Amino acid sequence: MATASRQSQRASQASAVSGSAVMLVSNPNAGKTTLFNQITGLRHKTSNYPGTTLDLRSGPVRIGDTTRELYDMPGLYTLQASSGEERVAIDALAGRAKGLEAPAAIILVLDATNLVRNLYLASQVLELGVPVVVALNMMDLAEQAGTRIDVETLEAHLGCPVVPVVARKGSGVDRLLHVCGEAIAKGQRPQLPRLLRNAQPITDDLRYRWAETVVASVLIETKPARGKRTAALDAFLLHPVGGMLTFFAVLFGVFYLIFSLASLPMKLIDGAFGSLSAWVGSQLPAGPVQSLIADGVIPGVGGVLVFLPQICTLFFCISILEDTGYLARAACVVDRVLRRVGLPGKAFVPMLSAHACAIPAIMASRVIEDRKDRLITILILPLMTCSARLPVYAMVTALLFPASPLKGAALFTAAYALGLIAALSMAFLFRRTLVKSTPVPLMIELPSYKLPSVKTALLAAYDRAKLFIRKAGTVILAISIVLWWMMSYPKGPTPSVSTEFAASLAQQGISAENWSAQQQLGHSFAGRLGHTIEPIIAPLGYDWRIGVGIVASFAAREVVVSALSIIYGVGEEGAEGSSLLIDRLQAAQRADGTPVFTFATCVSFLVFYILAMQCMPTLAVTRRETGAWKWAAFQFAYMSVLAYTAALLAYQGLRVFGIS
Amino acid sequence: MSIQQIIVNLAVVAAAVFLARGIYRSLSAARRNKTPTCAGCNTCEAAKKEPTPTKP
Ligand SMILES: Nc1nc2c(ncn2[C@@H]2O[C@H](COP(=O)(O)OP(=O)(O)O)[C@@H](O)[C@H]2O)c(=O)[nH]1
Ligand SMILES: [Mg+2]
Repeated sequence: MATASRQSQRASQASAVSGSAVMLVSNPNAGKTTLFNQITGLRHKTSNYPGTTLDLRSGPVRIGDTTRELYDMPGLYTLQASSGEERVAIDALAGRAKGLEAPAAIILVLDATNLVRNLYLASQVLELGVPVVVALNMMDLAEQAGTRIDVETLEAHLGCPVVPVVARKGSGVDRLLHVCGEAIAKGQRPQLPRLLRNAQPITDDLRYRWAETVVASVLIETKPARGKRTAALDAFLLHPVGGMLTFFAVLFGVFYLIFSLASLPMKLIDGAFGSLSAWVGSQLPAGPVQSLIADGVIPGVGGVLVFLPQICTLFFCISILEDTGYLARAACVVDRVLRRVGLPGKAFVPMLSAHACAIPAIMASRVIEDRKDRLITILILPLMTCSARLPVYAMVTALLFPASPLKGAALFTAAYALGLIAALSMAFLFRRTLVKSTPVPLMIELPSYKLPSVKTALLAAYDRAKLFIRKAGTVILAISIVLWWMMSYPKGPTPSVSTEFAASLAQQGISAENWSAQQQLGHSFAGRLGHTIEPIIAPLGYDWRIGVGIVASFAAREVVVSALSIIYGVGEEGAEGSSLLIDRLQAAQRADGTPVFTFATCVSFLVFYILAMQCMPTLAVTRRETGAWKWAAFQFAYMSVLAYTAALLAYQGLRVFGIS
Repeated sequence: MSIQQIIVNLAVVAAAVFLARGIYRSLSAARRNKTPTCAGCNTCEAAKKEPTPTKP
């Protein structure tokens, strides 16, 4: 670009920005939002930027004698960005975004622990010709890392005021606002750094060289770098093979912990709901209300809540792993595989968060700029093991290996691995068929290792627990009621059991009441539905009652646990049944008296739930993020086919090897 | 109909309406490009955090 045109452009920008707003700008994760919250407190509002999916947060702030609107912009790496949210933010900074005030000043947040890359963006922001005040954030972390920053020299290099802050604690914020007010009052435009002022054109390379020079002259190491141990650990944890093995070993360890820690509270909860059910049975007069509560609501809600300890333990462990800095290493190892199969590097963040829930994960895939990359990522995300699958996994594990946490952990690890492998294979397939293009790679920045915070981990577990209980108390409760009704109505004619028939039943170990209850169940709506679909699911090793569970769980997968707890409770002798779930399922028999949950059936059932698309809200989000029902329908279809086929192969395969 | 039967019917209808409303909401939210009602957690905020690439 010629000097003249650059200068005239700068002049026109400078005249355009006579606005009144103040905008927070930085690389992602430099602390804008934290700073924004510190400054505005609770007074901010979130609005949708017209015509985009961009959420813009703004709030009033008193600067000098004027109250101005402060905006929290999306994170940027460069002002040359091409598309989407970034484009909007860049336009806003230049005062060109419709419906937004132009900035009177920009507060540029720099992460003191990450100066080089942050200064790259700074070099571009300084060119805008708007008064800039730098908030040098994360000063606490920089200090911990053993570095000091020479603020005055930095000011000289940048040609604008620099105020050190710790956004998290709020220190330095008052001074920042004061300096900002002065800069606005004086109309203080930054002096462009010399190295950049004279160069034409300003290349990326030059910007980095400038950034490195600046950092070299302002960064003072006060402690010797403690990189040695980190480097040694990283060499091992990031090793393509060793790192992968460690990753699975860590997963295995976490699951082992879950089963050994959670089994006792789980039994207690199960027993408590069992006793509650028996107590209700003895207190309420026999009739539909008693049945609704004792046979529908309590087993339905209790059957799911039994797994609360597992969920809390898992999220506690994940938080600890994240805090130590290990999770980023694991992501890095997985990222290498991602790129092999044709997923964009940026997909790893959504894939990580998909382990909690696919919905935020699909929304997080917005960080992937390329439309095709994003589509592939969205399509495969629901294959990752979300927290709604945990009760199902835990149920199967409890059925198969009730007494061995070691085997349980192995099964869990295998289940997670299967979800991951399925996701990667499908991505590979889609990349070669549906959307042909090459994905954009990504470099990940590794946080330093540190001691985890138990408090953060406890909070994470508590948050999950709250969500889980809320869901049990709303959606699961409602579905349990409806399911109970479908299993109890319409009432068939009471079958009369002759004495001889009762005797022959008794020979098979079935009581007469149990037999009539089963007859009634077969006559109900749910029973008819189950028998209708039985031919489709019989090859997977399921009886019709599992079929009812599968149908019931199409809107939300964990419902299957409630459904099975209710449906296998029918006709069960109350007194001995102090357990609501596991004992019931273990005792469940097919019409011929063989157990329902054999090894092969359990495995096939697990495989089905790992792969099946059973979450309505996820489909809705896919529709929203892809803009077409077509993709949501495709996602549902391919996952259902995949789940059915894999479960079929698992069941029939095991039978071929003589395992039933 | 006995009182018990009436209570049960009311509960079932209420539950069915609650579920239908949930389904309707998430479908129509998707159509209007609003965030569908998910589990209601706040992970979305956390998930929006982009990864930080290092210098190329
Ligand atoms: N230690 C420390 N952490 C901070 C500070 N400011 C922000 N953080 C943390 O840095 C992370 C990213 O901050 P956020 O405000 O979301 O960054 P944004 O992407 O720029 O909006 C969060 O975990 C913050 O808690 C700070 O001054 N000190
Ligand atoms: Mg932010």
